[in-house]
Amino acid sequence: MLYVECVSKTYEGDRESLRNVSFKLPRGQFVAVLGSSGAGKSTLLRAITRQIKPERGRIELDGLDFLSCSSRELQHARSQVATIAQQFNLVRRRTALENCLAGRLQELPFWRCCLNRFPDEWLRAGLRSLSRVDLQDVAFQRADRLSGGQQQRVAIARALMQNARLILADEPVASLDPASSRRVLEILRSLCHREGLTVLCSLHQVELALAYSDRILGLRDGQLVADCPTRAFVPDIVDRIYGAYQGRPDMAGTHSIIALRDPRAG
Amino acid sequence: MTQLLPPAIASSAPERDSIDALLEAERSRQGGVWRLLRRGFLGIALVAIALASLREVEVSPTELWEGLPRLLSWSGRLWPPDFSEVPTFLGAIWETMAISIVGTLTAAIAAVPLSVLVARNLSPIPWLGGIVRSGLNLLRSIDTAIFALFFVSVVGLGPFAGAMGVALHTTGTMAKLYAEAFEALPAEPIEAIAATGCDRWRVFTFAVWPEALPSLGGIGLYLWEYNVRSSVVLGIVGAGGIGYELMVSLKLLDFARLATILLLILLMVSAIDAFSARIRRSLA
Repeated sequence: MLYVECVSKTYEGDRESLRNVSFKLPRGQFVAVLGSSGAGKSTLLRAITRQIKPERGRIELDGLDFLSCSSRELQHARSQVATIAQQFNLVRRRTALENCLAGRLQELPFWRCCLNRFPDEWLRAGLRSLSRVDLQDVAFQRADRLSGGQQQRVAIARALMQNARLILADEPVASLDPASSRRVLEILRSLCHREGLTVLCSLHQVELALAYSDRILGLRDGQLVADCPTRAFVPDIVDRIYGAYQGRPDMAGTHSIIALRDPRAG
Repeated sequence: MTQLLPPAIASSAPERDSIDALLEAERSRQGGVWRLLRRGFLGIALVAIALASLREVEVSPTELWEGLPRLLSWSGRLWPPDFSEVPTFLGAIWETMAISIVGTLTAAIAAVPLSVLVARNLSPIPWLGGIVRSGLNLLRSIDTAIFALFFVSVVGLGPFAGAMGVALHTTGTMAKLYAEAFEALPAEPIEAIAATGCDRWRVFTFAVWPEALPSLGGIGLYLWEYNVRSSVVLGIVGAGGIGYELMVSLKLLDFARLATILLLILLMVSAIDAFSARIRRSLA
């Protein structure tokens, strides 16, 4: 369970990027974060792992307060949280498998890290993680030889290897074609529902959020202006998040997507 | 002009007015007359500095013209080269190369930790990075030959002094270039590995080192090539190698011997350039 309570962050000399943001994420939920560029989506995701430190508020994962814990505790706490960025997630000159194994690198003796020697059982576990994202065939290829979609899936396999309880994905499909985007989001959703992982994923496409998430958070100027189950999402919420939004997404179309995947919605 | 533009760019009258206003505002922001004056002043200052420099170095085409016959007669005496001392020269060439190899390797080993301290994205102690950076600037501003001269008086004549000179000067340059290579790495993979809870050491060995290695290798080889050439000069200040033989030939005006030495230096530099270019290609 992730608690985010009254979190505020101001960048130097700038307006507040996060203003009193509060929400609770139970296990096994796929939560989409929507908002215009600069609304505070990335700041929120980075604040959760304390890559940037908020001035106020409380962030707690399974009882551990991320903002007040020591740096050693933080190092341990971070191993529970996997992050997936928009792109360039992987070390380009290492293989897909090595990148996947990086999820548990903090447990590897340092000499093994220097010599690039991973224990056999790790290699097997890494290959299993890669096969769960359908990438066992490219396990020994260098990361810079993989397509954008494959790279994002390796990042997900790394999160599996890490045995993370929470995945923070910052626009993971922003640079992918539609088919690869759907593939990545499908994998993330199935991890939530089958394995009880929690995913907090910022997106720019409202349609994708409606099609894949269980719940939608909307940020505008650093404030949480929407927090609702995806099924209860109505077009007015889009206006609340994006303001005078001219190219409103095709809500009729997205409703039919929801109806297709979720019989309850129909 | 408007007729030449595609219809999508050809604008209506009110649009044109607003665009003209925008351009006018930009021109006045740049401050037309003052800008021209400033540029003119800059141009005059550059020409004045160039003229003053010419005067200082006493450039004299007439002297060059008068010296030309001497130059031609000496050039003529370069042929035929005297190959009788080639084995000695090859030993000296190897000594020059050894100076550059020992100096460059020592610098490469010293430069890695120093560059990590200096690189803004990696430095564990940023304030110390600033101090180290000034130290590196100092090393870089003193030439290899001056360092070698200094070490000749400390450790005596010979290649060791030369290698020390190469090592010290190169450390300054190499650490700066290494730090720039580290700073140019994309932040995301490094952050992604750090975000899994790894300490600095693991992040460095797993993510930073393999990503930076091709650049570091390229920089190392480039500086080694440069050091081979500067090690030739070291012989003149008493640090051994082929430079010493070169200086002796010049002093004795033994041009046949000089021709052989120049030929061997040319061969050595070309071979090393080709070798290093090949390795750099394979590093990418």
